[in-house]
Amino acid sequence: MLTSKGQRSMTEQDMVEAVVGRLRRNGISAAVGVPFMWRCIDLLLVGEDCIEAIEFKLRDWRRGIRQAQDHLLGADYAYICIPSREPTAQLAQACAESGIGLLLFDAGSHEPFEVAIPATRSDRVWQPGRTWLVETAAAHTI
Amino acid sequence: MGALSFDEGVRIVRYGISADQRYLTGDFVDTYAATMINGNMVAHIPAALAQFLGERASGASGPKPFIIDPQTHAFQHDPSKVRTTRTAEDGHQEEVTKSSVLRMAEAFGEPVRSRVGEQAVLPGHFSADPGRAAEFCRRVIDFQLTTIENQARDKDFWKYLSYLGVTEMRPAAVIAPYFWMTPGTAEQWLPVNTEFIRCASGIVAGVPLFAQLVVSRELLVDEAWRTRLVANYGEAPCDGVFLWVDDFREHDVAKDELSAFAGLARELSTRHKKLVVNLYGGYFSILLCRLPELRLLSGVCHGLEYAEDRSVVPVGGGLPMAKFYMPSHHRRLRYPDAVSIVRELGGFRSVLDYHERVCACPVCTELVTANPALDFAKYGVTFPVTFRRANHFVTLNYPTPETKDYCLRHYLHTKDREFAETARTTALDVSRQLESQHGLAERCLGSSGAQYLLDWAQVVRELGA
Repeated sequence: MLTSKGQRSMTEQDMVEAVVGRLRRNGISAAVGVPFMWRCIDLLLVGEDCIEAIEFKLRDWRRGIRQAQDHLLGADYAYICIPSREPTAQLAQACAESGIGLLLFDAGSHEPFEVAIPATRSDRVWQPGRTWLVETAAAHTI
Repeated sequence: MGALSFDEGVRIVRYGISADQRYLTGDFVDTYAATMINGNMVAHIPAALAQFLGERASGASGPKPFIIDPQTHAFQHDPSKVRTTRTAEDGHQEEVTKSSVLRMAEAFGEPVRSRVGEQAVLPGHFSADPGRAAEFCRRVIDFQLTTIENQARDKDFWKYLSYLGVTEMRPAAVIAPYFWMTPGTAEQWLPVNTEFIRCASGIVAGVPLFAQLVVSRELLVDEAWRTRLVANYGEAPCDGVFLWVDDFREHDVAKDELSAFAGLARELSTRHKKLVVNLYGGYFSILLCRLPELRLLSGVCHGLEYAEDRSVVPVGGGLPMAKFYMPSHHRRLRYPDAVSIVRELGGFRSVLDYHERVCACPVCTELVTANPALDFAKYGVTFPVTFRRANHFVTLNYPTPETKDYCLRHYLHTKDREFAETARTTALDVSRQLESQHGLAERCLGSSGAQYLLDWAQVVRELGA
C-alpha cells in the first residue's frame, strides 16, 4: 500500500520486524507469530520467570485489546503496541480496565518501544496454557 | 417412509456438506427426528443424498425422514450473491453463477431460469402472471417430491427398502415457494408468498404442507406487521410454518426481539393451530419447543454446531469455526472463554468435578480421564496457517481435524441432552437455572456477553406464568 506521497506505508509486520531487530541488538531474543488458543501472538518475550505477549496494531486497538486479553491465559503480561502518539482517553481507560499495557513504536527511534502504560500482571494464567505457550514459543524464537 | 410426528417437539438437524454425514449416522442417527437439506445440495448431489438417506441414515423403519428447503429466496437477492469466482481454462479469473443454483433454477423454470445470476426476481414477475406463478409453484413442489426418490429407485438399496415395505422416498413435509420480507419489501412480497401457499395446497396431497416465513428482525418487532403476518400465515391453507428470522442470534438479540419471536410462535401455534418450527434455533428455541407449559414450537432445526442462526444472505457458504459448547451456559464459546468458565465452575479440580460441573457427555468422558486441565486442552489444539494478505503475511490458527471432531461430537451429544432434559422440567426451574449462571458468565464474558441468560429467563418465566 502506498501513501499519498508515493511511499510504501508501514504495516504491522514492519513494526514487528523492526522491534525484533532492535531487541536482538540489545541481546534479547523473541518468538514471532506464536500460535496460542486459536489465536496467534505477534511477539512473545519468554524470560526465566516471566512471559510477555505483544499484539501490534496500526488501527482498531479495541480488537488488539480483545486479542491480548486471550493471551493472559498463558502470559504474565500482555500489551498492545501502536505507532507512537499520545494515547486517547478511551484507549488509556480501556488499558486500565483490561490490564493490558500500551507500548508505543517510534519508527525513527533505536529503542524497541516506549512503555506508555504498564500492564497488570495476569491473574488468569492457566498452567496447561502456559506450558503450551512455552513449548510453542521455542519453535518460533528467532 | 414413516411420517414425522411433531407431537413432542422434534429435533431436526440440517445437512450442510457431505462431510456432515458421519455426524448424522452411527451413534447420532437416533438422536434426531429428521434432516433438513438445502435445495442447492439436492440439485448438486442428488444421487449421493439419496444414497445417504436411503442407506447410511436408514434405520429399521426405513429411510431417515427428510425435508428439502427449496431456497427460492436465493433468486430475489442481488445476483452477485449467487455468483462465484473460478479459474477458467486459460487461467484468468471469471465470475459465474453457482452451478447448484443454476440447477435449481433449471428445475424451477420461469421466472427464475432466465434471470438467475443476472437479474433479481421481483414480486411483479409473479403477480403479473398468475399462470406463471402457479407453474413455478408446481415445479418447486415437484422438485422436493421427486428428486431424491428418482435417484433412489436406481440404487441397489431400493430392493432392501422394498423388502422393508418402503415404496416411496418422499420428504416428510413440503415447503411452498417463499421469499424474504423486510419492512421495505413485505407489502409486495406478502401477497405473492400467501398465493404460493394457496397454490401449493391445491397440489400437495398426503404430505404435510409448510409455509416458510422468512423475515428481517425489524419486521419481527413491528407489532402491526406481526399481526398481519399472523393473520396471513395463520389463515393460510397449510399444516405448518417454518420460521426463519434473519440473523436471529438468540444470545445477542434484545429481549423485545425474543418476546416478539415467542409471541409470533404462540399466535401461530396456539390460536391458529399451526405446526411451528424454528429453522435456525438454539437453546431458547428448545425451551419454547420442549417445556411442557410452553410447547409454542413443534420443532427446532439446527446445523452441526454452527447453524443456530443464519443470515438470509449470502445464500449458503461460510466457514464454520470450531468452538466449545458450554452446557451450563448453552452457547458455543471461543476456547479461551471456555477455559475461563470451566475454571470458574471448578471443573479443573478433579476428573469427577469436571464431569459433575461441566460435562459428562461421551466425548468428555472419553477425553477427560486423568488431568482435567490437560485433558480439556484437547478441545483447543490448533495449527498455524500463514498466508499473504494485502502486502503482509498473516498467521491464523485453525483447529485440527481432531479438535473439530471433538467439539462437534460434544455439541451433538449436549444438544441431545438439552432436548431430553427440557421436556422434564418447568419454565420456573429453567429460569432460575439460567439466572444462577449469570454471575459467573458476567465475570468471564462481560455484562453484554452474559445478558442473554437474564433475558431468556425473564421471557420464559413470563410465558410460563
